[in-house]
Amino acid sequence: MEIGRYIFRRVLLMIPQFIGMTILVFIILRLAPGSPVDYYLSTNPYATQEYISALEERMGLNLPAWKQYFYWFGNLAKGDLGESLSNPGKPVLDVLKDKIVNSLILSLGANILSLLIAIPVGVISAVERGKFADGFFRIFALFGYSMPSFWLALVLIQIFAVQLGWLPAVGFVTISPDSPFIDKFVDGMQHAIMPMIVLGLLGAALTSRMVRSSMLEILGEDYIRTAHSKGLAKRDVIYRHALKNALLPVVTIVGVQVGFLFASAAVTETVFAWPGIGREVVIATMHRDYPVVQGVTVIVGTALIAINLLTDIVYAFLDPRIRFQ
Amino acid sequence: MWSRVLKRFVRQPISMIGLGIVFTVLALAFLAPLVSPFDPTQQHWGHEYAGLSTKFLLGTDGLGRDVLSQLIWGAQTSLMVAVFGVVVAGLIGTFLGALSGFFGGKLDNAIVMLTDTVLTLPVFFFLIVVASVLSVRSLPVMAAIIGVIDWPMMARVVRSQVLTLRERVYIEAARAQGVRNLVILLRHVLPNTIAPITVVSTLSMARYILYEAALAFIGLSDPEAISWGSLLAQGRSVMNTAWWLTIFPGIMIFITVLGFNLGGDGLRDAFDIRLEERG
Repeated sequence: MEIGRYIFRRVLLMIPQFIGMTILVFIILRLAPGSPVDYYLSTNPYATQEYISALEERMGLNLPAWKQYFYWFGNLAKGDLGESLSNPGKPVLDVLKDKIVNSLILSLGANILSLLIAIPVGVISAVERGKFADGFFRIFALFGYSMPSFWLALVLIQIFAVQLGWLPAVGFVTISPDSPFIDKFVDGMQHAIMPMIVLGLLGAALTSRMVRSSMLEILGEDYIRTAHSKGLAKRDVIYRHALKNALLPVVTIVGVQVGFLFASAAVTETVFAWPGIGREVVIATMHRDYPVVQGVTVIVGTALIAINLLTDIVYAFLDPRIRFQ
Repeated sequence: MWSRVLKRFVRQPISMIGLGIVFTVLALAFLAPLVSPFDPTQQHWGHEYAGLSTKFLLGTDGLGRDVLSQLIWGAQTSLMVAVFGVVVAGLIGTFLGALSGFFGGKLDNAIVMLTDTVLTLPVFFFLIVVASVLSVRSLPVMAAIIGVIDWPMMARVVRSQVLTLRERVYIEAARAQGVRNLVILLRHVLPNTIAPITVVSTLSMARYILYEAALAFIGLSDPEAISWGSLLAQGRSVMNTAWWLTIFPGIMIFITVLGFNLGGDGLRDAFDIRLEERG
């Protein structure tokens, strides 16, 4: 029962966050220079005043700002994100649909890779605290998050695609869409390796440090000392007793990491021409296609709020103390 | 306390390396007019995409501008954005964090709520969006938007520090003597938050340098500024023939960011404080 109440409270908390986020997005894009109408007028220099007014009325631009917000929010609630300006007449959601899937694929791969590196590295660093391995991995992490990811991407492309010719440089599935699924899968994976490595390493650098500090905290607890003094083998203490509890906060860490990699993907996607929403937002900003920018921002913001909610709920399931706070 | 912290900081080789890098980049930025071999905007006709030579140590770009000179002047851009950005984030974060921790109650709840909401925003993503709607993208403006988006970490750290300080006996004593709240806050509480603020600032500057470089790389920073990121963007399409345009700015960004991160990491150990990580 307790858990039900916790989830209910946590979901309620999400509502003001969501509204706050949409208001922020709305305000930021209202600051954009010029009016959306200008976009249509630039291709139609003979537009009459009546035409402009009609256009403004259709887009709701003659209303006061707060009414526009509610109008926009109402459409948003119905899943209507407006029309793309650079693809006239095409709903924003249609423009973004495939790109969201592509971004999720990249994100999934990068997150798995990152955890595969970060968890062992973090655990070893904590167990070997102050010794060579700890120092080595600390430097590894510092190098990892000091590295400009777009530069790493360019260097990898130059080495593995241009010089060695082992991997394709850019794009996702580049063979004919009529090819058998297995061929498309292999082709897609080949394209995915480098962007996943770039994002995965970035994530691993950050996450390994968090795993280390969460593991260190557990290793200092009384029950671990008890286990040691009982004469249990060091390995058993670490893997049976400590790791299980140290992985609890990792749930939260994974949440942070998913959000972080999602946000950092924009530049990586751009360099690898990965057809995801990060690259889409960069392209849309160049074309001043504000409805698309707005749409992507709302989607990413909502996704992050949802991830936060999800990690909190999973955490509450795993750790009963949270529910009773 | 300070001498102990200093001793711990100095004893760590990696923090000293970090400090060394930061001071070198600072020196380059300040002494740019003196140490730069050429005017970074001067176009040497007939020397477009010139390779490494004794005249152009690190080659030239597509307009025949000396790469080494651009890298030296680029340090000014990176550091300016990092410093202004951290000042803005620090002012907003310290103000809100101090209010929130010191006065507690409804104000605290509201500020914590705001902080948590902004903290869920994907920082770099929002930077792209905000930068794209700006009509003026000068460096101070870029720094300001970074600070305005990235203050929550600072607010959290200041708040938690103020929360613990507020219960100290010396604060109680000051209060008993009838010292006004504002005076207590400014004279007795805030000076003791300097340690965590220094650590967060150093690590933030590392991130801001990356943000500026990445924004310049996708063409969303100050178009007039000499930036490592825009140099990289230029080199992207000619990597096969003019690799120096990509490699050197990348190394420069990497080493500078590493310097700030090493310094910040060392400071964190020296001050012995724990921070939550954030992307």
